[in-house]
Formats: sequence, C-alpha cells, structure tokens
Amino acid sequence: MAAGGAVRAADAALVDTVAEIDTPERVRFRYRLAGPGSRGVAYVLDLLIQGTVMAVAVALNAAFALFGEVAAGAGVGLFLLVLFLLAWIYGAFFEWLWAGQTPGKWATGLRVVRSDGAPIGWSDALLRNLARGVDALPFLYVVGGIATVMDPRMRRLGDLLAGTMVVVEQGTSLGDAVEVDPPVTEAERQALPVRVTLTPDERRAIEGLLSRRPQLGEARVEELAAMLAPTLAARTGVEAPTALRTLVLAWARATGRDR
Amino acid sequence: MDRDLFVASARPRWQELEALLDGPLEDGAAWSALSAGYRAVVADLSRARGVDMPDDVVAYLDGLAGRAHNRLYGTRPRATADPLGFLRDEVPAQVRASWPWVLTSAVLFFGPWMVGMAGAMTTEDFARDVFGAEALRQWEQMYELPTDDRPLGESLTMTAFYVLNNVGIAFRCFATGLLGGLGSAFFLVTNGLFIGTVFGHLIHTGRGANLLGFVAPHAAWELLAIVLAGAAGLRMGGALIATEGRTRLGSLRAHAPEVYRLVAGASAMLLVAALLEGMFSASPLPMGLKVAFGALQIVAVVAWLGLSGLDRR
Repeated sequence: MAAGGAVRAADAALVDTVAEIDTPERVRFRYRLAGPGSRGVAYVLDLLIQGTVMAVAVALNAAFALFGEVAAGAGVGLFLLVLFLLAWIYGAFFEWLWAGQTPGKWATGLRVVRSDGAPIGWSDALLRNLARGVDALPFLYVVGGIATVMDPRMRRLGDLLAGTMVVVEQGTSLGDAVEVDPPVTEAERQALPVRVTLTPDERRAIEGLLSRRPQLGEARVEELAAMLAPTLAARTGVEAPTALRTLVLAWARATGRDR
Repeated sequence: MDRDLFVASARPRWQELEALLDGPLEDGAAWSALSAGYRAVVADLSRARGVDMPDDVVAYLDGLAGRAHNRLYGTRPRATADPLGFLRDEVPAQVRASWPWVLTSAVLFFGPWMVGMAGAMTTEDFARDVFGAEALRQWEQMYELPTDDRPLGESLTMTAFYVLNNVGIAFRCFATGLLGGLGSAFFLVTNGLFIGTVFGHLIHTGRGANLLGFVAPHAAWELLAIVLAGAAGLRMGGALIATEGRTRLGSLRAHAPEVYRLVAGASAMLLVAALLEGMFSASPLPMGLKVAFGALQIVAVVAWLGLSGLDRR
C-alpha cells in the first residue's frame, strides 16, 4: 500500500515553500516545507538531548573510575561508544523508528517524508543521515545550509541523495466563526440594496478577515478592510460609516445573514 | 456556501479525526475509523478548494490531511525485508557488480598506504614530515607494549577510540563523495597515507609485532569497509558527473540503491570489525593465535565478497 504518485512544485509562480502531494485517493494536499530555521531549531533540540545523554555517560565514566583501573578504561571505552552512537546512529535510528522524526523534529512538528509524500524507509534514513558527514562541512552545516537555500524544496545534500524532504506537520488552527458583530440593525437593513452578490474572491477575503478578527485587533482589521471597501461599496451600493462595517453588511446581505 | 456553514457541517468529523490522531490506535476499528476519516477530510479539502473557502480553512484541512496521511501510511509494514539475506547475498553481488569503483577506491587507499609505508621504513624523516615529532611520539607510546602486557583498561579505551575513529573515516569517505567524488578521493588518499606511514614507522622502530598483535584480528573487515565506503562515495561522484542523459539529481537518485547496498555493507563490516576489536584485539591472547585468527578473517571476507550470492545477478 504505497502512498505515492507525482508531486509537483505547487503553484510554482506563487510560493516555493509548499510541496503538493498526489495521494492514491486522487486528492492533492499540500505540505509546508521546513526551512533552515525550523530545522535548525529541531537540530539544536536534538543536540541538547545528545548533550544530556553524554553528560550521563561522563558521570557513569567517573563512577567507573572508582572501581579500579580496568573499569576506568572500560568506562572511557563506553563513553566513546556512546559518542559514536550519538554521532552516527541517533538520527537514522529515530527517523526509522518514528517514521521520519527525531525527538527534536517531533518537538518542533517536523517530519522527513519521501519526495512523493510516502514515509521514509530504513535505507532512506541511513543515507540521509550518513550524508551529514558532508552537509555539516566545513562547520555548522554550511554546505547543507547553502543547499537548502538553493533548492526549491529546501533539501540538503542528504535529502537529495535519499530522495526525501522535511515538511512541517504541525496543524494550523481553524479561525473563529464569522460573526456579524454587532448584528445588523433594522435601519441598516432598510438601507441595504435588495440584492448583493460577491465574487468568490471577495467572499473568501471577507470571511478570512472576519474569522481572524479577534487575533488581528480592530485597528488593523479596519486598515485591511479599507483596501477592499471602496471598490465594493461603489459596485454594490452598500454604504456604512466604516470600511469594516461595509464589508460586514455586504457579506451579511449576500449570504442571507442579515436577519 | 459560506465558510461557517461549511465548517459547521463538517467540523464534527474533523474533530473526530483529530482525536484519533492524538491518541494511540489500538484495534482494527480505530484504524478503519482513521482511514474513513482521512478519506472524508481529503474530500472536504478538495471541496473547500472548489468553493473557495478562506485560507485558514484550506490550510487547516491541508495540515489535518497531511497528519492523517502520515499516520495511515507511516506505519512500517511488518518486516518483509530480510536483513540477513540482504547482507549475505545482495551486498557481495553489488560489490562485484560495482567492481570498477571498488577497485578505484582500493587503489586510492592502498596506493598512498604503500608509499607512506615504504617512505617511513626507508628514512626516519619521512614519518616526522607527515605527522610531526609530537604526534609520532604518541603513536610510539601507544604501541610500546605488546597487547598481552598492556593493561586491560587501556586496551578497552583504545578499542573504543578506534571504533569511533575508523567509523568516522569510513563514513566521511562515503559522504564527501557528494562533492563530485573529490571528497572521497581526498579522504581515501590522506587516510591511506597516514595509516601507511604510521605502520611503516612503527615497523621501522621495532614496534611491528605490537602493532600486528592489535590490528591483525580485525584489519580485514575494517580496511575493506573503508574501501567499500569510499567506493560508494566515488559512485555518487561518478553518478553526478556522468549522468547518462538524466539530470544530475536524477542520475544520483538512480544510483542510490547501489550506493545504499555498498554503504550498508560497509556499515555491517565496521560492526564486525568493532566486535572483533573488542573481543580479540585488546585481549591478551598469544600473538600467534591472533595472527592466525586475522588470516582466517581475510579468508572469510574474501569468500563472502567473492563467492556469496553468485546466483543473484
């Protein structure tokens, strides 16, 4: 049951931070691609986890040293072994185990998926993580960073090799319901044109604005509303004291929410 | 249809799906519900696009569909793969099929090795020029005693250090192949030269037996692992340069399975080397036994890479 199909750079002319997936269900959905910033945060979180594990290993090492010379040598050996596991195995192991997420990626809502949107396998995880040996060159992931900036899907060299990309999985929240607030008064209703029709774009813009009204603040909402209100008023004949009210009234009349 | 009607009519099933995604999926019924919920949401998504819902609705549904998709398809299939068969048959078959790359890698590694070894055995100055006097003294110190006289603790530390160091060398030889193969070539040559020079110097200064006692049991696995990792790196470089009509990226991707088999083989060999190193190299077993065991390992590696999986391709 392979999820798959073609993937295209969605709306190439518009944005390049989105990858579109064709699912077996013949529906497309879009992934937001993860840029160097959010991936850097995930990486730092992973480093912190690795640092913690290393600190524990150092403490163990010190404890080993109490039990004589052989144990001390074994303790150093154990520490080096932990270092090796963290440096070369950690990423591939977790991305295999958790279908594309290390603890850091999990915490930041990122996930590695194949270019066609399918989950990555063990070989993909191994290849993209071993390639860190070149992406991390010459220091601080400069090579990988340059690659993510140049590639339209923001892939580092390891991703290019393994055929993977890193996407943002975190869900965005739904805006609030569109409210006609305050409700349309009798006087306003009388003044409204009998019939108001909105183009789909206009309706979408107004609904988007109104559903985000609480987050934006009244002043900003009014400012944004003023961009559309004059043309809308001229076309439909809706008149109101503020730009926002113009949009609200036009929308209410067009959708039958004015009563 | 306006936004609120659309949202109100479908929201219960979205919330149901969210609840499923947040919790563990215990039984078949939960998985069926997830599958049904996912299909419903992708249908809602295309409808939302069709009737021009505002961006927050479309973005929310995109996110929800993506999470459901990953949960549904992100489950690893029950292990149908056969890792042992892969290592037993496919890796050796690939090594033989990729012989020009393996050979090139071996020449780039062992050629400078010979030069370093010959140089260090001829004159004292050669090794000093390569390493500097201080580093050379450290190498000498490490092999001052035969392994059966060396304290066990020190041997264990040394073993772990070599595992870390040599795995690092092998994987760097591989990864830097993404720079058109040049990185692999560079690391193969320099590491070959360094190791050869150290060996030559230790032999020249009469520590050859101590060295042999430590490296013999695992050398075959470890050195050939570096060669295979280098071959995988060179293969990537080759794919990037000679694209055979594909795009550079397409050419690299087309050779990824080959590269994976080589580097997975190298990783497995490094694991074997590390185990042997831990169990035998550091142990105070008599020298003759170690060398005989080492010779046996050479036979084992050659037989594995040369003969195993002959029916494969």
